[in-house]
Amino acid sequence: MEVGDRISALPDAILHQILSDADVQTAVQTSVLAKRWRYVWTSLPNLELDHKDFFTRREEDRGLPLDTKLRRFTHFVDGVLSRRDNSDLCALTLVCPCDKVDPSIIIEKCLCYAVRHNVQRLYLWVTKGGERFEFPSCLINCVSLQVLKLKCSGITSLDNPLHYWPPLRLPMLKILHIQKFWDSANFIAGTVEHCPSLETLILDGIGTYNLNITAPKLRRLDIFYETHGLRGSLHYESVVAISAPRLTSFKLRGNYVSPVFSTVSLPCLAIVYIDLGPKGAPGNEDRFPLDVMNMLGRLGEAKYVTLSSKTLQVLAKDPGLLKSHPSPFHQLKQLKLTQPMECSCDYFYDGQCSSVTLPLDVISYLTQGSLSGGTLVVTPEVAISPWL
Amino acid sequence: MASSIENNNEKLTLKSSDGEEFLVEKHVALQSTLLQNMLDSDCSSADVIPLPKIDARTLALVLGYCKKHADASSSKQGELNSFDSEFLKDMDMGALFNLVLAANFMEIKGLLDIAAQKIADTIKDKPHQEVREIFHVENDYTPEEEAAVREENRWAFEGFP
Repeated sequence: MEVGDRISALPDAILHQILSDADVQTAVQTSVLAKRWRYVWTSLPNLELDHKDFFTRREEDRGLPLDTKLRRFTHFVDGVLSRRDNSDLCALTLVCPCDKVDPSIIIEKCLCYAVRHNVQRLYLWVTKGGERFEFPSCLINCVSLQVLKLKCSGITSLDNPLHYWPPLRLPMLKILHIQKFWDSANFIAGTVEHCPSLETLILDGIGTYNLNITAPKLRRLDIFYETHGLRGSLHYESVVAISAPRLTSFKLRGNYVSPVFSTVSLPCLAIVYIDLGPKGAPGNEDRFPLDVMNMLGRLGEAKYVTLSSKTLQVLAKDPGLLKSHPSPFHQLKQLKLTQPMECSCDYFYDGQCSSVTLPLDVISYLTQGSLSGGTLVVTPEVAISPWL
Repeated sequence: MASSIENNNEKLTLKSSDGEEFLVEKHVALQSTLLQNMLDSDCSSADVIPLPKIDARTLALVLGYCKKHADASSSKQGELNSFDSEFLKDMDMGALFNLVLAANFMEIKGLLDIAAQKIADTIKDKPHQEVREIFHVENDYTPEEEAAVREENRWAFEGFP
């Protein structure tokens, strides 16, 4: 086998992939290896700037005071931005708190740098002080952005709007993924309305009284309501109105939220996942089963439906309603019912599903509308977490 | 993809830089975007596809990877992951670089990803002199030049010796 300097002979594109698989600090430090390496890092198309990673590499850094760490991190990010060459950025990941002056400035600097360099994918996680974070105006109208993932820790209540975010207007945005967000001023609805290319919308851990989704190209919509919030914000009614004619997949989860659901027809709908209950909002507890049935009725085109055991229990609460309501699904191919994990060992004794008690009136309500023979599957509940 | 299943039994011949021929099932070859594009555009009318930059030892490794990934069903992701981590284990650096270049040339993304990750892990958290020794990188900076490069990027060395 030949020896010699194989790594320095690799084309820049492969070296960039290797350096991106390391971390940005390691990448910059390779500049001292030899002349070939001096500027390789400066055209890295993907940057991952994470203040938490930054101080886990060496034992002696871990005990540094937070202020020192943040100062070094912002100094480092500043260096990367000022020494990087002028090539486009494909993806930027920025994980940083917003509760100190320096990091707040660096977040804005990074975002504006990314927009100027035609960033396509942006993942921003404001780890602290999310209520202080504001979108820099350069980002609000970014024309290159295709994927935005946003996680903002620190905003914790719907009833206490500390901030107002203007809607983003991103003409190329295809995927929007928002985590941990209490939407008290219709930021989500406004943004969706102004992002006409949107195909995937994932709302993971949100709180909202009113969600109005109008998206002509939307194919996938996940709404997972936040289950841990401030006392008093947990039990509420949430109005969900969807206008998305190309929607194929709809997922909804909420432990104590009662969605009041309306939609125009969803002719392309194939996949539905519903996990609601055990309780609705105080004051409409009696109406909760009806609200859920009305929602299922609106999702009638679905072919692959998954319902949680909690949702079945909600439906089982009102047997009279089950009899008087028509079956919601008329093209069902598969109905999957999930059981809570902790009980699964009983259900799956000897590999056999031996002792599941299914509310029969609910099952027949769900299945009798479908002419063709579909399948019924009972599975243990697997934590569904949105991808990306 | 439908056509690849219909023509499952077709085979094609790949020829390495050192002249060895490999008979490959088409669905295995399709793991390579390069070969897929050639097959799609009917550039493969020749009986044998030459791969002038890839030697027989490397090509055998590449095809082993492709076969495993082509044959495994998507439900066996865990099995594939452990295959991937075993695949590069104990591989010498020369073979690893041949593999990276082959994966890059043949456009086999999964293989390029794991090989690049392995090289990245070798660079990470090591003093520069050690990195130079492992990869036979000759330091062609004068001491003054090296100090100057370090100085222009000193914000990346804060706290480092």
